[in-house]
Amino acid sequence: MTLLAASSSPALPLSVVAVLAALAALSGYALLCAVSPFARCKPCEGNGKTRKRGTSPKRGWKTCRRCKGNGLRLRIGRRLFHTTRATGEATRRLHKAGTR
Amino acid sequence: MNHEELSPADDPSETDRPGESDEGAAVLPFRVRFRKNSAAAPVGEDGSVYVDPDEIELPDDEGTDDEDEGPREGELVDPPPSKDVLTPAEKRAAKSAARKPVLPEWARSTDEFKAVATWAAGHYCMVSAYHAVRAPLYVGKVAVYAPRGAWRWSNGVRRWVFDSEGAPFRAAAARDEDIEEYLKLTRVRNARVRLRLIVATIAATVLIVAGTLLAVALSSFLWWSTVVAVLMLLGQVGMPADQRLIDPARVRFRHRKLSADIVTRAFVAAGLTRPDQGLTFPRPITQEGNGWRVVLDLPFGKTFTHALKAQEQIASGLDAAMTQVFLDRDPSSARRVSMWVAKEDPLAVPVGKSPLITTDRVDFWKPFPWGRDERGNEVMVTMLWLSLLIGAVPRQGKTFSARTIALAAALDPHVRLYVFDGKASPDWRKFDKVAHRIGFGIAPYNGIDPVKVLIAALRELKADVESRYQRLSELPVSVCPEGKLTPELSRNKSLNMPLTLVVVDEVQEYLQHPEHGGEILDLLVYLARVAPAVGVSLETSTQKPDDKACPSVLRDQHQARFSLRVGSWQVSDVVLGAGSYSEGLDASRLLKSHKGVGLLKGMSDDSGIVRTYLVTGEDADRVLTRARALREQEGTLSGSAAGEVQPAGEASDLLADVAAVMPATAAKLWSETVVDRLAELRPEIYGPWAEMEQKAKATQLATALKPYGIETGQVWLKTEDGSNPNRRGVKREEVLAAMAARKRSAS
Ligand SMILES: [Zn+2]
Repeated sequence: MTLLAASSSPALPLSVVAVLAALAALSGYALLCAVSPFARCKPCEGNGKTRKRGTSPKRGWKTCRRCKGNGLRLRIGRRLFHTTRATGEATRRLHKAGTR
Repeated sequence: MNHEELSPADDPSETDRPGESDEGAAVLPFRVRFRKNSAAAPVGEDGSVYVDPDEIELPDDEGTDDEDEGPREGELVDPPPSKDVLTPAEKRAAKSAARKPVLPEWARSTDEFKAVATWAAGHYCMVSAYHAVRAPLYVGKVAVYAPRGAWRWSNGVRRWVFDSEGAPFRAAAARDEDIEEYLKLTRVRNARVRLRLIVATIAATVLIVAGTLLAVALSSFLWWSTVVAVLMLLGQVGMPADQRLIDPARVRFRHRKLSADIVTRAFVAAGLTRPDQGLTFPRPITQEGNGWRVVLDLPFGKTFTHALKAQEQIASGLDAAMTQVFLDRDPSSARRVSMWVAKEDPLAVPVGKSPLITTDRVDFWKPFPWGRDERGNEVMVTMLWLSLLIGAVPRQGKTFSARTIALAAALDPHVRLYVFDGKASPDWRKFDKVAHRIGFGIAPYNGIDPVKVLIAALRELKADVESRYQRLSELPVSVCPEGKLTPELSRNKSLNMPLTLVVVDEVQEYLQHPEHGGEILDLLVYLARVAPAVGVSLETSTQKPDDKACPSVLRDQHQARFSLRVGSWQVSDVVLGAGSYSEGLDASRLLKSHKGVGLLKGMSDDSGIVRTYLVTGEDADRVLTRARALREQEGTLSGSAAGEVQPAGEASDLLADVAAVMPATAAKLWSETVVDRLAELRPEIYGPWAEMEQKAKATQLATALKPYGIETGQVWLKTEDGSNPNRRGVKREEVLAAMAARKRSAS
C-alpha cells in the first residue's frame, strides 16, 4: 500500500520515470557511441601495456593483447550498431538477389 | 617493262625462291606474305628489278599490251592518292568556297536582319510582360522558400565547418576497428575544424559589419534591393529541385543555337547513325529564315527515306516539335539530307492577307500567289492544264483556300467562272457578281433547283469541251501552232474559248444526290479528265474524300491535290494520292491550329506545305466587286452574272415555268395556252407538248401539275369568236400557293 501511495504521489508513475530514465541513459550512450566510438581498453586501462604477473614494476611490461598496444577498444554499443547494420545490409542484399 | 627479260627463268634473283621450277612460268608460287615487301622494294639487293611472281605474264598469255587494266589480286582497291590531287587552282577554289562569310547571313540581308530584329523585339517584350504578370507569384514563392533556403544554407555551412565529408571515413575506420586510421582521421578533422571555425567566425563578423555599414550608408532603395536579392537567392536555394523561382517564359527551346553535336545526338537517338560513326556536315549550320539550315551526310547506306521515316524521332532528339523539322532531299547524294529546323512552329503563324486583295488584275495564264511555304517563301500556283482536288476535315480553311484560287480567276476578266457550292454556305454567295453559272446547295430555292442548274452547266461544259477540241484541231497552224489553246485564242471573244474555272465546293453533296449523283459524277469525271487540256480547269473540294462520297474514279482524275488537316494518314493518302505517306507527305500531322495550311502535290515538280493566304468574306466581296467592274469594262460579263436566266437540266422546274408564263395580269389561263407558252419558253423541253392536240395538251399539263397539288379545273375566259369559252385551265393563285408551300417545306 505504501508503495502504491508513494508511486502515485509524484506527477509520473514510477515505472514511467524508470522507463524515461532508461531511455535517456540509452540515448546518452548512443550519442557517446556516435561521437566517440572508442573507449579506453579495460585490461591495460588505456596504456596499451600490461604488467606481467609476479615481476617487478620496472621491467615486466608487455603490449596489451586485447588492444595491441593502442589502448583503445570499440564501445560495445558501437559494435552492436555495426553488426546489426551489417546483418541488415546482408539480408537486404540477399533479398534483392533472391527477387532478381 | 619488257617481260621477256624479266621472266623468272631469266632472272637469277628469282632462282633461290622456293617452289620455282626451272622452266619457270608454269607454276606460280603462293607468296602472299612477301607481297608487301615486294611493293616496297622493287629493286633487289643485287640491283636487279624484283618482280612479283603474281604479276608475271604466263607464257601462254598472248597479250602484247603491257598495261593490264583488269583488277588484280593484291592491288589496292583505292586509286593511288596521287590521282586525287587537285590542281592549285582547284585548291584555291575549294578553299574560297569553304570560307565563311564575314558577317552571318542574317546580318547581311536587310530582310533577314529585319526579321531577326522584329523577332528579338517581340520576344523580349513578351518575356517582360510574362514576368510582370507573375510578379505576385514570385513574391509568394520567396516567402515560402526563403526560410527553407536559409535553413539549407546554414546546414551547408555547419557541415563544412564540422567537416561532415570526413564523417563516413571515420565511421568506416571505427567499423573496421582500425584504430590507427581512426586516430589519424580524427586528428585531421580536429585541425580542419579549428581552421574552419576561425574562417567562419571572421566571415560572419565581416558579414555582420558589412550589413550594418550598408544599412547605414546605402540609400533605402539599394538596401532593400540587396535584401530582396538575398531573399531571392535564399528562395532559389530553398526551391525543390524541379521548380524554379522565375518560370521561364516558355518551355525552353534548348538548342537556342543548333550545333552539330545536337544534330548528331538527335540522329543517333533516331537510330540513323551510331555514336562512333557520327555524321558528316558538308556545310556549316547556318541561320535561314526563322530557323536553321543543316546539311548533313548520313552514314553510307542510310538514305533520305530512312531519315524521313524517323522524322519524329529526329524532332524529339532535337527537342523540337515535329512540325518544326523539315527534311528536304538533296539531289547531290542519296545519303545527303538537307534539314530545316524552325525556331517556332511556322505553321501556326498566320501567313497574312492575300496580295490579291490589292491586285487590280490577274493574268490567269501566269502563276499567281496562293500562300507561303513553311519558310515564308511565296508559293505561286497556276490552274492551267490541271484540275485540283482539295480535301480536309471541316473548319480547317478548305473553302477559303479554294476561294482564293477562284478570286484570282475572277480578277482575270477573260476567265469564265462556274461556281457551285454543295453546302450553300455564305462563302461563295458573292460570286454571283462574276460567275457565268452559279448554284448553292442542293435544295431548290426561288424555283431554281441548283442540282439541275449544275447538271445543265456540266452538260454545257461537256459540249463546250468537245467543241473546243474540234475547233482547235481545225484552226490553222499559224493561229494555233500546237493545237493548244493560247492566251490570244482564249481572249478572242469571237472564238468563245476563254479559260474556264469550274469550282465545285463540297462536291460530295452533289455526288450523293439520290437522283442525279450518278450523272454529275460522270460529267465531273469527264471534265476532270479531258477538259483541262482545252483550258477548262476543275477545282473540287470535299470534306469526305472516301470512296462513297467522292469516288476514286473522280479523285484520280485530279492531277493536283491539296490536303489540309485530315484525320489519319490513310485519309491523307486518299486526298493526296496513294504513296504520298511514304514520300513524307502526311496531312494528318498538321494540327488544328494550322488553319489554311496544307500539303500541295502535283501542282509543280515539288510538293510541300502551303500556308494559304487569308481572304476574309469582306475582302472577297471587295475583290469581286472590282472583278465585276473589270469584266463590265472588258465586256466579258456573261451568263448568270450578266442577268441571264440559267438553264436548268432536263427535269426542269415546271411550277416555276408555269408561273413565269402566267403574267400578273392573267389570273387564269387555259391549259392549252399555258402549254403553248411553255413551249415558247423552253422549246427543248415543252416543244413536244405543244405539238399535241388541244385535249391532250390539257391532260398532259394536268398530269404534270398533279404532283404539286394543282388541279386543272374549268376556266371561263372571253374569246374573240365566242366559241366554247369554258375550257380546262390553271389559276395563277393556285400556282403561286403551290410554290409558296414548296418553299416552306424546303426551308
Ligand atoms: Zn589494452
